[in-house]
Parts: sequence; C-alpha cells; structure tokens
Amino acid sequence: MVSDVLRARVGELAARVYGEVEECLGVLELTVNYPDAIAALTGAKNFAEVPCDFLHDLCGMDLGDHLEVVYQLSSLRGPQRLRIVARVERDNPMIDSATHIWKGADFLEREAFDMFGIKFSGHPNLKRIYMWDDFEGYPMRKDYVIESHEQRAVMRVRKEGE
Amino acid sequence: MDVKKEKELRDAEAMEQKNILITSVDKFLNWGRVHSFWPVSFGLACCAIEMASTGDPRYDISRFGYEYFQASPRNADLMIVAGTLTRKMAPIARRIYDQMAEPKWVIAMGNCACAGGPFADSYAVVPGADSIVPVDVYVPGCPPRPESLLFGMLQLKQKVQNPAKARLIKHGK
Amino acid sequence: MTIEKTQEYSINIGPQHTSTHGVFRMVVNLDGEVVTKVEPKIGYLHRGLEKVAESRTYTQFIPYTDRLDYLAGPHNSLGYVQAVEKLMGIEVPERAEYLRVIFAELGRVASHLFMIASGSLDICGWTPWSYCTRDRERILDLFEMTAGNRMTMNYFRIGGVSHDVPDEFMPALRSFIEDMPEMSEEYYGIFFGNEIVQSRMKSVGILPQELAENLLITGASLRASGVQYDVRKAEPYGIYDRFDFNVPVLYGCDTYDRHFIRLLELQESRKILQQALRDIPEGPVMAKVAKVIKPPVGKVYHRVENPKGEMGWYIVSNGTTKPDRVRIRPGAFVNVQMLPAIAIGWKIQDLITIFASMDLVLGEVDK
Repeated sequence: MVSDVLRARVGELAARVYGEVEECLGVLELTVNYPDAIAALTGAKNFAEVPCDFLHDLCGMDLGDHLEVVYQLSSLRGPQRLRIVARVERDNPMIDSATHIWKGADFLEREAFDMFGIKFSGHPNLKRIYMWDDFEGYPMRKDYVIESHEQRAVMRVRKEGE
Repeated sequence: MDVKKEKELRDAEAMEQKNILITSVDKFLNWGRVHSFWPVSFGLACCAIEMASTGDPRYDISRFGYEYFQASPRNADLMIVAGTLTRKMAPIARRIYDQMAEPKWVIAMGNCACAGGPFADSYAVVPGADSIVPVDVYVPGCPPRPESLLFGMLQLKQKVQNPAKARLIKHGK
Repeated sequence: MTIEKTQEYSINIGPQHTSTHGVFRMVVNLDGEVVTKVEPKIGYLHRGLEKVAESRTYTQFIPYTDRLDYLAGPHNSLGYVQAVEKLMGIEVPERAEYLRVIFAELGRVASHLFMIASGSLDICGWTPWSYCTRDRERILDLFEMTAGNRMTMNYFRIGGVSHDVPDEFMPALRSFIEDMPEMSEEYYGIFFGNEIVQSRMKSVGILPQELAENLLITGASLRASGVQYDVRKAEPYGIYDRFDFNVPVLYGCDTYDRHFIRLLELQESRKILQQALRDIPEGPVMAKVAKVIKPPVGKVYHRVENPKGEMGWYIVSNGTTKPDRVRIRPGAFVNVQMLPAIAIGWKIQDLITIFASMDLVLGEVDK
C-alpha cells in the first residue's frame, strides 16, 4: 500500500545518500551508512507532498558484526510511513544526534546509548537513563552475560549525588 | 548489616522474650501495635495498584485500622514491598527501611518481591526483596488479590501477638 | 537585619513519594517556591523486558506485556499480538475481533478512571478517588469473570482470544454501559466543575502545539493541544474502521484540558462499547494456528493507541520460535520529556498537578 509519490521520493533520496531501498510488509525501508543518517532524516522530513515529519521511534539493533540504529518515521498529516536503518560500526559506534531536528529524540537516544553503547555526537546530555551511572556493560548486546542470582542479590553501592 | 545476621538477632530477641514471660505491659503494647499497623507508601509496580485497591470502599483496609498510609518512613511501622525491586532501587529501599523506627515489620507482596517473580532471570532485578530487607510475611500472587494482602496482614498480626507460637510453627513442632 | 542575597537550591522529589505515581524521581531547582529547572531521573523500575523477550517464545511473552501499562490491563497485549499476526499473516475470526475491541476499550476506561482518581488525590480530593475507584471495581469484576485475574488478564492469544466469555458477562457489561452517562455527570459535578480544581488547573502548564509536535508527544496530551490525531482513525488496526466515534480535541493546552479530555474520551469509548455489544456475532474465538508459533523471517512495526500515548511494537523475527528483537516504544516514556519543558516558572504545587496531567505509569516508562 505504498503510494507511488512516496516511492518516487524515497528513490530520489536513496540516490542522494547512497542508500538501498527495500519493501517489508507494506513499509519502505531505506538502509544507509552512519555518516549519511542525518541527511536522510532531514531529506525525509522535507519530502515535497508526503513529508515524513514525525519520528515515531528510534532504537538500536545488534546484528553480530555491526550495530544498527532504526528510525521509524510517520506523519501527523498523512498516511506516509518510512523506516530508515543506519549501519553503525561495532567497535566504536558513533552517529550524529537527531535532537536538533526533533527535541523529543533526547530520551530515545539516551536509551540506545544505555542499552547498546551507541554514542550520539551533539546530544545535550548523553548519560545512562535506565541503569545506574556506574553500571558497566551494555545489556541489550547479544554478547552480554547476565549475572547469577547470587551476584544480583548483593546490594549495589550508591554514589552520593547520583 | 548482613540481612541474615539481622534476622538471627531478631529471632534471638523474640526467644529471650519467651524465656522471660511476656508481662502484661508488653501484652498491652502489642495489642496497640497489631491493631494499627501504619504502612509507609512504598508501592513500586502493579502490586501497588492492588494495595491501593485494598483501601477502596469495597475491600476496606480501614476496618482493621491499617488505612493510614504514611508518606514519611519515620512515622510508619510497616513496609509493604509491593512490586519488583530492581537493582537501581535496592539501596533506596534499604535506606527507607533504616529510617523507620523500631518496632518495624516487612511484608513482601507479590511474586516479584518474594522471589523475583517472572523477572527472576533479568539483568536488572533483585531476585527477592529478602536479600535487602528482612521479611516477616510473604504474600504470593501476581498480583495478589486484596483479600490475600488482608490475610497476610492478619498473619502478621498473629505473629506479632504470639511470637512464641510463630517460633513453634516455624520449627515444625 | 537586611537580606544580603538569596540563592537557588535543589531538592530531590525522590522515588518514594506519595504523589509520584510510582518510582519516579526528579531533581528540582527552586528559587523560593518557583521552579527553575526540572530533571527527571527514571529507571527505578527497569526490569529488562526487551532482553527477557529474547529468551521466551512468542506466546510466553504475552503475560509480560500486561505488566507494561498495568492500569490498562489487556490493552497492551493487543499491540503485541496484532504485530505478530501481521508478521505471520493470520486472520482473526470475527467474534475474537469484537471481544478484543470490548476488552481494549474497557481497559481504556479503567485507565482513564484511575488517572482522574489519582489526579484528584494529588490535590487532596478524596471524594473523586472513592467514586472513580468504585466504578473501576465494576470493570475489574468483568475482567475477573472472564479470565480470573483482576488486572493482568493474559487473555489475548496469537490468533484470537484464549476462551469465550461466560454467560453472565454480556448482561453485566450492558448494565455498566447504561450507568456510564450518570457516572460522567457525577465526575463532572465533583471534580471538573469544582471551582478549586478549575482555579488550580486552568492556564497552568501550557504546552503549545509546535512544541508538542517537536517533543514527539502522542496520545491524549497531544489532542489537548489542538492536534486531532488518533491512530484508531488514521491507521485503523483490527476492526476499528467499522465503529462510528469522534476524536475529541481541545485547544486550551493546559492541565485542566489534559484532564478533561480523558472524560470526553470515556464518552467516546462508551459509544464504541455500545456498537460492539450490538454487532458481536457468534462463532469461534481462535483461528487455526500451529501449536508452535514460528513466524517467517521479517520485520514489522505496529502502532496502537494506548490510553497513555501511542505504543509501537517493532518485532524482528529470525525464523525460530523465539524472537530476535522485540522493541517496545512506550508512549509514556517519550511524554516524560514534556515535564522539563513546561514546568519552568510555575510554583512547586503546580509542578505536582502538571505531573499528574502527564498521565504516566512507571511500568510503561521504565519497561
């Protein structure tokens, strides 16, 4: 159910940002590398007749040899939907932050940092959000080892002023 | 202080009281205590909603004298750990418990507070509140019905009124 | 003695607090009584649901979804099972679809009743609390009649619902729906029409429309700021396109409007429940699904209109019985960002009412 206008616009955008387009259960998916992620988001926000101007979700994914940041775009003024997948390196995951486009991406990026370790450059306050500040490790990565019952039953030491 | 050691010391105190007969002053104080457990409002997750429903007009916790949920732990004598205790929250739970004045009791409400519940193998959950605070009564359920919580509080009432009886039941005699 | 100077101080409205609706913590900078900065600190109920999902099968994860927004009961499972059904291409029988709509709307009514009740409890109004929770008990009776549990029902399955409702369900539901207009009148009289509530909540905590869209706010708070958007109308899921209901929208953008729009949504939910009760057919309640759920390799993103906001489910399947990734986008988590933006300049007692109007539930915020 993808409209032809949207398909055409996404095709033009893909050519500009060197991305690949796929279709998955009725939703177009644009895969780019991490340096072009912000250009893809700004381009999608400014589509001519079908602007995808509402960032619905931002999450991380662990695919074994690399990480990914998945953006789900929709719009408050039309039925258009788009998914943008940005490939990020595993060893030093860095990507530009989307907070200057949407202020609401703040907490979502902090969660991706906390769970996967992806650093967002330009974020106003990149700290852990779900786990405590001294926690070590990135829990949602596939190679994270969960501690045993006995280790988790020991109370953690709380830093003053946390 | 290590929680196991704390429980042992408390049991020793109760044992001592059994040796020296409970005087009538103690009996009178106990009567006052069990008819007015004032819980500190420590609702964490879904069980907190069932704890709040116990205060509703239908299940009416105030007919027992227990409806006065205190905001500050310094005025309370019962802590109902209602919900999942996460590792981030554990030092705060301990601090709230330490701020309560003696005598004080703890009820672990819900599967998550008893033994971790459905989240026992999660990286962020303490499997059971009894490794952080010494628990007196366990109320299982997910979430336990308000009647179960009332039954748990009445069991605590029995335990506080007759520490000797609780000792015998615990050791299976 | 003259005062040399004053200074700002910061206090901690800690995770254990009667008015924080759960374990929410904020560090507030105050100049006298006026708030100058609010920093929310969350994560005290983080249970790691997304990691737990990777070691459970698709059907074993359904009880966990109930613990997300524990006030709305069965509504959370709706998004999850519909996402998996989209991935597998299963078609759900008619009676199951109608039953799902009935339970989802009952969950919405229960959640909104609790929000009004706790919103009034924060300003020390005990009467609306008693009235709203008494009416919410009737909905919990309906849930208990069907599935045995009052709040976390675990009733929906992939392909339908688990079993049919008992005989006494429909008459009880009919009598509840007939009592709803009288209930709304009562709530208007004791809460919304009360002049103390109006003077404390009107024009407090304005959230302008552009700021709401930039902060990615969704749900009733967005509709109270003038944007008429509801996922049930914009992208209908299930059989919501067959029902005739309006999407209320208010333009005041203040705390009072964010509370009042929940009362209007209650009345719209009543219309949906009436129509569902009138049109529900007989038939099976579960589609013919394999015993072992193994979706094909693929990705799906499904949105539903939760009572607290829009909930998004992103499920990635790798062809085995356990999912590769289940991502939950909670509406309340993104709505927390509203608080630092609109609480500046108000007094500390207004901070509590602004916080109550955001309608958070920490199970959804912290997953």
